[in-house]
Formats: sequence, C-alpha cells, structure tokens
Amino acid sequence: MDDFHQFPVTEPQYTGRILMVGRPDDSSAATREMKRAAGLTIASSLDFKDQDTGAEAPAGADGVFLNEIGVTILSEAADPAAVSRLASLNLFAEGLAGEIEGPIAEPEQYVYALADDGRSYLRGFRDATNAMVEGMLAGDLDPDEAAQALPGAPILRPTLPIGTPPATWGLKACHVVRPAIGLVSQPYSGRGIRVAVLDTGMDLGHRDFAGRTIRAASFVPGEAVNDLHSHGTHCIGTACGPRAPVDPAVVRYGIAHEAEIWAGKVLSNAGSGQDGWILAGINWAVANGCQVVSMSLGAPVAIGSTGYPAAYEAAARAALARGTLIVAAAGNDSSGGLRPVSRPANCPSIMAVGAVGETLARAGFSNVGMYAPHGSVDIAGPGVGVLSSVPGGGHGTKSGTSMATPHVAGIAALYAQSSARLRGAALWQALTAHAQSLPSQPATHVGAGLVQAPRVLRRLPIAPLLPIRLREAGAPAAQDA
Amino acid sequence: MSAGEDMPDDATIRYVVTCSDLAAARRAAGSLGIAIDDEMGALGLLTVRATARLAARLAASPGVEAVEPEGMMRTQ
Repeated sequence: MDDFHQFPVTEPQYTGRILMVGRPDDSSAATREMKRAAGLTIASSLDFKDQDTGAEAPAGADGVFLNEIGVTILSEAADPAAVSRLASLNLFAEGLAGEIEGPIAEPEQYVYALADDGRSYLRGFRDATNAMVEGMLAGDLDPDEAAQALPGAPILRPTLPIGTPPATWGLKACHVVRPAIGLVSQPYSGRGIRVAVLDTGMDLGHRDFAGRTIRAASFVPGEAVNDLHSHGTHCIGTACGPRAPVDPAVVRYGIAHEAEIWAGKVLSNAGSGQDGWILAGINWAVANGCQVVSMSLGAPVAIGSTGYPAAYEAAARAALARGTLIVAAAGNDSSGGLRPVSRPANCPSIMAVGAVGETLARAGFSNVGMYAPHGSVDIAGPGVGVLSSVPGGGHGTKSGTSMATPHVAGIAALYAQSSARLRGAALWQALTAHAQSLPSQPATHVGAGLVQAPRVLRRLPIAPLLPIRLREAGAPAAQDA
Repeated sequence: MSAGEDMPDDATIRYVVTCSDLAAARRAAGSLGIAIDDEMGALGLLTVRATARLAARLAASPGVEAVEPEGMMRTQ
C-alpha cells in the first residue's frame, strides 16, 4: 500500500507445515470434529504421556493438536483440500472472543537452530507459543516483543525487518498502526461508528476530509460551525482524520478514518463556551446515536473541591444508558504543581483522559486524580507534540490533554466497530482493560495506562499456501501474484 | 443548590437544571415564572434564566434534582 514503508524482506523459509491457532472448549470433541468434517486425522497431545508429542506427527495422523496452547500442527503431507475445509470450521474461533475473527492458519515459517533432537524443538515451540498466546490474549505482550520476551525459548521467527506505516508517534504508541506483517493486525477503521467531537467546530473544507460523512451543528449563538480557532479541527483530525493525508509528506495522524464525523461547535472561536451550549451538544450527539463523544474542554477545579457537576454527571449517565461513551480532557493546570482533574472530566461517568509524552511519562501540565473515588484520571493518551489537521487545509502540532482525548475517542470508535456489544459502559471497560499499563507512573496520573487500539490475530488464507507444499513435494514452483 | 450565593438575589442568570422528571420540572419552572431557555430531552436537563431566589425554590420542586449556575469551559 502506498502509505506503507517499503522495506527489504528476507525470504521466509517455510517448513511446509501449517499451524492452526484456536482453543476449542473441548479438545476431544474438536479432534473428532476435525476428522468428521475435514477428513483429517488429528492426534491430541492429551494422548501422550506428559503431553510430549515428539517432533513429528504420530504415524497415521495428519497432525497433532497441542491441547495446552490450542495450536494444531498439520503435517506437510496433509491433504490440501482437507486443510481448506478445516480452516472453515468455526470451532477454532471458540475461546478467543473479541480477539479473533474466524480460524487462523499460518504456514510454519520459523527457522530453528537446534543443538539437540527435535523433541526439544517441539517442546520449546509448545512452551513458547503457549506463553506468547497467553501474553497476547492477556493484553500484556506485544507480538513484536514476543521473541525477546521469552527467555530460553527457541527463535520464534526469522529476523524480518519490521515495517510500520508512517504515522505520528501517538498512533504508533497506541498501536493504531501496526507492521504490515506479523501475527497481529489492527483492521478497524471506525466504519459505521458515529464520533461526535464537541469543540470549536471544524474546517469543513479541509482537503483531508473530502468525501467523508460529516454532520455539523453549532450551539454557539451567532457563530457558524466553521472553525476559526483551530482547536476543533485538530481534535477531529486525531479522532477521525484520514488514513492517508492528501499531502504525501504528511504522515498518518487520524485514527477512525472511516467513522462518521459529528462536529458540534460548543466552544466559540475564542475557545470558550457555556455549559448550556456544551450540554446541548451532548444532547445532540446522544439523540443522534453517536457511540462516542469527545470533549477536549474543561474548567479548573479548586484544590479541596471534591464535588462534580450534577448536570454533566446526569448527562453522562443518560448517555451511557443509551450506548454513548463520553471522554473528556483531564485538564492542563498542573505545570505549577499538581492540580485535580477539571470539570466535567471529574464526573464519575465521564472518562477522564490524561496526557503523556513520547517517553510515556505524564505530561507536566496534565491534571491528576486527587479525590477518589471520583475525579480520577481513567486513562491516558498521547498529548505532547501531536500533529493533526488545522484550518486552511494544513497541519500543525499541539499539546494538551485536549490532544490526548481524541486519541481515546478514535480508538473507542475502533473498539465499537469491532463488536456491537461494546457500547457505553462496555466500551469504557474495553478501553481500560486493554490499556498499556505504565508501571513507572502512578495510577492517579495515568489511570489504567496508555490507550491501545484493538488487535486481531492475523488470519492468513489457506489457498495461497498450497503452492508451498507442492514446491516441497517436487512439483513445479508456483509464482506469487 | 450550592451556587449562586455570591449573586445578588435580583440578578437573573442562567442555570442548568438536572431533572428526575422533566415534565414535572418544566411545570415547576412555569409555576414559578421561570423562563426555560433550552430543553435537552435526551439528557433530562433544562437551562433556565432565574434569580438566585427563584432558582433555590426551583431546586426544591418535585422532579428537580439539582440547579447549578451555568459555568464556562475552555479548550484544553
């Protein structure tokens, strides 16, 4: 794709075997189903003492199912048609809800330098894959780091250069963009999701948004939606900007690039707004079924003030009940000493977003949680040196919890697209559960940690793999498209 | 109601009214002669213009949970 870095790729070396990833609830039933539906005979590691299956598939079997890790290794001699049928079985998707779309099949392509016999290889493979899969599903292990994170494990893959699409540091840190190759992808774009950004409006003619579905309304008396401030256009750019900016010199800065944009102008061109305007904007977004509302706005809260605004809390509760998640900036008042989360982000039912810089430390200005159980920072986003769109068709860099907030909003749209169940409180839970913990930062500063985009184990089609087997069987080599 | 203490009783300002029963709150405002600026039905909120004295009476009315003076927000 034209917005991906080109990089030299070492020719993968395939073993000819195929790995099927998935953890059926009942392995015995699973292996029976494989035999019945696909015509393959699969041994189960449960049938071996200590589940030591050895390096090769047992005699008479097409493969072996490793029960503890939910991986099936299919022999290179397995019938290709049967393998294709196997890939269509839903049983492989069981037990991985929310993380996987259908069965996964990959050619075994890792090269191992073994000093001992093949049993060690398979044991090492089993243990390493087990740890890697568990880590990824638990959300605390990045596949790119998997090989380095497993001490003593065999090499998990060749040393392929990793190509990550050009993007802002924030999109990379949040894994909105991922390498073109690898076990995990980020396939969501926000399509079908409505994201309301309540701010200073939007440059509706910005070239990067040509052709996008945009609904706009102004709640500021006497001012049109057009953004003469720049703050709103910048925030919308981060949450919903394009996958590929028109200017090829500009890297990707937008997250939910296919989401519907609902641009509500609730702050004037001077950058301020009344509660009534903002609440009217929330009402508009909720009434129109927006799943995500991003509010990069706020007002300072005095130290010692432990309350929160009742109207915003009522609005946020009503929104959650109707499937709308509101995220808001924690505020920028801490440069001269720590200050509490601003209103309305200090409402318990509004997700408060703190800012971190490129080192993933709290930005010096970002407010902190002081008055538990409410007024906490719930999550953090990139908020220093953030590149995004500005009025006039250009781009600019801004810093603030305002910039962190649309990162969370855009990623929320990705989760919302991934599952219709992720709405309101469930969407909140998904965001915080998958955030990258930042152990060096107090939770009162960054909440659950740095927001992370959803990730899906990459599904590779079976059909293109078949020529590999034919080549190894001595047939003429097939040419890749 | 916690705010409005510093306002003169006869100054009319905007308040945000949080309602448990929007219709009842609207009736209460009407009976007090309070002008309703906006109604946010999806959220159960009203914005009204009132003096502090009338706002306090509205806060004690059926269907009303809270009455807060309207504040200002800024970009962050």
